[in-house]
Amino acid sequence: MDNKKNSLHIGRLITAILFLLVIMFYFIILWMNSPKIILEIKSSVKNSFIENVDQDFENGKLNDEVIEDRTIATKTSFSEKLGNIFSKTESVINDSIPGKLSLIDWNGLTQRLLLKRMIPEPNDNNTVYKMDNGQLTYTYPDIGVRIAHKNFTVLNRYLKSVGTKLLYVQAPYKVNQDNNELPYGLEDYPNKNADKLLEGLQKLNIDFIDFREVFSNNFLDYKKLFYNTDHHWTTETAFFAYQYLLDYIEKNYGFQYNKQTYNGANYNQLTLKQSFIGSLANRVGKWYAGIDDFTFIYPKFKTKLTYMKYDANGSLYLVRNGTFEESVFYPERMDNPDTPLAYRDNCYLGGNPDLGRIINHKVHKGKILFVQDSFGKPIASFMALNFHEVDIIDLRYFTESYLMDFIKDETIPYDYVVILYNPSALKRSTYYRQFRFYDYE
Amino acid sequence: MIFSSSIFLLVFLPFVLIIYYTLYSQRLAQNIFLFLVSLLFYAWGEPWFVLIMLLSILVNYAIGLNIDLHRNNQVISKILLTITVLYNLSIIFLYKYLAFTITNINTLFSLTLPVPDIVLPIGISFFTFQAISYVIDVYRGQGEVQKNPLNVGLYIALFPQLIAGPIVRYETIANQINHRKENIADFSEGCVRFIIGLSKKVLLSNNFAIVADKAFSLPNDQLSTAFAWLGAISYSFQILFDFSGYSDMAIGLGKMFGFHFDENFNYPYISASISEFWRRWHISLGSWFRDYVYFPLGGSRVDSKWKLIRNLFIVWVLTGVWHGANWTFIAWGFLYFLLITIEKLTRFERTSGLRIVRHIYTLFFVCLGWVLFRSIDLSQACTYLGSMFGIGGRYTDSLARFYFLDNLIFIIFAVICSMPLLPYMKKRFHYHDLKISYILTPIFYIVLFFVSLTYIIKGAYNPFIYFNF
Repeated sequence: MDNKKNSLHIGRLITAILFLLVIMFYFIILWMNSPKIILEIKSSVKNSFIENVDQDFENGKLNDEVIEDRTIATKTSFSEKLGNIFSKTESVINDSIPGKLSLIDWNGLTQRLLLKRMIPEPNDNNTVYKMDNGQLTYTYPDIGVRIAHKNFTVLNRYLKSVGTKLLYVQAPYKVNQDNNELPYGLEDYPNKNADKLLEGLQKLNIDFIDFREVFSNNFLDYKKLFYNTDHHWTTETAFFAYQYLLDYIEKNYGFQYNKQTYNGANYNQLTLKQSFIGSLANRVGKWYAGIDDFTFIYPKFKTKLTYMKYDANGSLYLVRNGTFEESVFYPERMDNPDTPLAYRDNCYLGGNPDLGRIINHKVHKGKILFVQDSFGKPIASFMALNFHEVDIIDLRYFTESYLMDFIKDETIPYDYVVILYNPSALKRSTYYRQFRFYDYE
Repeated sequence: MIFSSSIFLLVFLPFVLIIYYTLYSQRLAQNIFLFLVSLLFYAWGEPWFVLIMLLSILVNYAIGLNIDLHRNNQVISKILLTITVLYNLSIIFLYKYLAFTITNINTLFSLTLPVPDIVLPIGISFFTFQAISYVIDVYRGQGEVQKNPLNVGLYIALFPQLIAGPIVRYETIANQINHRKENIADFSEGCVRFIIGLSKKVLLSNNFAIVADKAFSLPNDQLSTAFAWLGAISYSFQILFDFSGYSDMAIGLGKMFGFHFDENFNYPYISASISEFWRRWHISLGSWFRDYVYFPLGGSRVDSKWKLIRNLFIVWVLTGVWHGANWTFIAWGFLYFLLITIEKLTRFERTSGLRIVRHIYTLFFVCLGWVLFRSIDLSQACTYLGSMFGIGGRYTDSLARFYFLDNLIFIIFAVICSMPLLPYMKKRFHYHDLKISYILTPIFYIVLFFVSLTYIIKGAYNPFIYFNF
C-alpha cells in the first residue's frame, strides 16, 4: 500500500484537500441548519410509535398465528428509546444533507453504468428492479391470505345484515401476469397472491372486479397503463377504471347516476410532458429511472363539494369547500410544468388521507366507503362526482378504530363498501393492517 | 457509530478534525479531546456499554501500575497479571459466552437453567484484547506503564480501531500516545487510505452482502448449487472487503491524528497455503494469539508433535471462539486447526508443487470456512455445504443467473482488488514519480469517495457484521 512512506505526494495532498473540502462543506451547511434539524429530530422521535409497530410487522414478528392475540399498542424499553433517538438523529441528518436528491441522481447514474437491474434497499420491499421493458417495479414475496378471507367473511356477513353491498376491487400490478418482463430469475408473486385472494373471494361469494383481467380483455397496452417511474397506474388508466367501476355498480347494483360524469369528453385533460418523478425514481434517481409525463384530469362541468380530512385519531384537521379543483383536487400540483417533480399524483386528495370524507352538494343520494391505498386516490375523487357522500379510509394509517367499528358507528349505513387495493397490499409489512377489519378479541 | 455513515463522515469526523487541530501543540488537551469523542463514538450505539469500557480502562490502568510497582517481585507481578487477565476474560465471558455456555449445559444435561438475555457490547473482544495487551506488555517491559489513566483510556478506546480493529498492540503505540508527530504527508496518506477503506466497504462489501444474504436466507430446497457457490464466494468477498476496508479506514484515521497502526490485511486471497493465508488475514489477531498464547505455550519449538498439536488446537479453537459464541465459529476454528496442523506436519509450505493448485486448495477451504462462519448454526452450515456439492437441490436456477449477471462488474472489480495488481502496476511504471499522478490520483480517489458518499446518502444496504465479535 505504501510505496513512499513519509514522503509527501502532491496527488495525495490534493486528494486530502479535496476530501476535507467536501466533508467540511457538508458539515458547515448542516451546522447552519442545526436548529431546524434538532426540531425535526424531536418531532421524528415523537412520531416513532407507529413505525415501531410497522417494524414488528416488517420483521415478521406478527404473523397469522399471533396477529389474533395482538393489540396494536406496543411498549418500548428506555434503552430502545435511547437507541431510537440515535437512530432518528442519523435518519434526520441523512435526510438533511444538502443536495440529497442530486446525490441520489448520481448514484442512479453509477448504478446504470454498472448495468444494475436491481437497486437494493435495506428494506427489501423497497428494492427497485428494472424490467425488460425499461419500467421500474417492486417485487414482493409469496404470502398466505387466510386472514384476509376470514376477515372478508365476517365483514360481508355484517354488511349484508345492514343492506350494504361489499365489492373488492383488485387494482393491477405493474408486472403483467401474462408477460412479466421481470429480469430473468425473478418470480412474480404479487399476481399469484392476488389470484389466491380472488379465488377465495369467489368461493365466499363476495363480488370483485379484477382489473388485471379487465385491461387484458380490453386489449390495452399493459405497459402504458402505468408510469415508468412509479408503481401506480396513470391517471388515464385510473379514469378508465373509474368508468368501469361506475358502470359495474349501475349494472349490478342498480345505482343511477348522471351520465355527464361518466363521459371523458366532459373532463379537462392536461398533460405535462417530462414532469413527473415517480416514487421508484425517488429511490434510484432520475438518471437511472427517467422522467414520466403526467396527465391531470378534472371535470369541465360545474361541481360543488366539501372535502374533509381527518388524522389517524379521527380528528378533523382540514376542510376544503368549492369546486372539484378547490376541494378534492390540488391544482398547485400542476405548477412548474417544465420541472420534473415528485408527488404530482397527490393532486387527488392531497395525498393519502388517513380518513377522508367528500360531500357532493349537487348529488343527494348514494353513500359509499372506499377502503383503499394510494391506487384509490383518483378513483375515489372521480366517484365523489356521483355520490352524495364518499368516505375514504386508509387502514395503514387510520388507528382510531377497526374498520368494522368505524362502519358500525355510521348512523346511516353505507350503500356500498369498496375495498380497493393493488397486489402490493399483500405484502407482509401492510397485509395485517390493510386486511384486519375488526378486533378479534 | 460506524464509519460508513453520514453522521460519521459529515458531522463527527469534520468536527473532531477541526477541534483536534485547533488544539495543535497542546498534546494533553488533544488526548483528552480524542478520549472524550471516542467515548461519544462508542456511546452512539448503546450508551450504557461505555461504563463497561470505562471500568475496563480503570481496572487495567490500576493493575498495570501495580505490576510496574512490583516489577522486582516476580510472584506478586505474576499474580497481578493473572488477576487482570482473568478479569478481562471474565468480562468477555459474561457478555459473550455465558448465555451460550448455559444453553449448552442445559442441552447436555437436560437441565432448564435460566439463560440470561445479555446484549453483547460492540467491539468488546477488540478493546478487551487491547487491555490484555497493555498489562502483558507492561509486565514484559515491552511498553512503558502509563501513570495517567487518560493514556490507557486513549489506547483502549481510541475511536478509529475501537469497534472493528485492528487490535493495536500496546507496544506499537505506547510511545505515540504522547510523542506522535502529525504531518501533512501522513495526513494526506491517511485521507487516501480512509477513502480506499470506505470504498471497499460501501462499493464492494455492501453489494456482495446482498448476494450473500440472499443465498444464506433461502430455504434449502430453493438453494441451487450454483447459487450456493455464488453466495459463498460473495460472502468471501464481503468479509474481505468489509474487514480490510474497516482496517484501512482505521489506519487512515489513525494517520490523520498522527498514529501509526500496523497493517492488518495483506491480500490474503493470493495465499498458496492456509498458513500463508493466516499470515495475511487479520494479522493483528493472528499475531496477538501468536505472541500472547501460542509462544507462551511453547509454539512450534516443542519436544513432541503432540505438544505442537495441542498448542495449535488451543490457539485455533480460541481464535474460532473469539469470533463469536456459536458452534459455527468453533467449527470454523477447528477447520483451521486441522488444515494448519496437516500443513505443519507435512511441511506443506516447503514442498514443491504448482502454485496455482496450492492457491485453489487454499481458496477452496477458505471459502468453505466462510460458510461455517456465516451460517446461523451448524445445521444450516451442513445443509448449505450440501447444496454447494449438489446434495438435495437443483444444480442451477434462474435466480443464481440473475444475481450473477447483476453483480458481474462487482465480481470483476473484487477479483482485481483482491490481488496486489494496482500496487504492482504503480511500482512497475513508477507511477508516483509521474507528473500525471498529481492529477490522476486526486481524480481517482475523489470519484471513489463521491460515489461511496452517494451510496451512503441514498441509504443503501449497509450491514455491520461485527456484532458477534
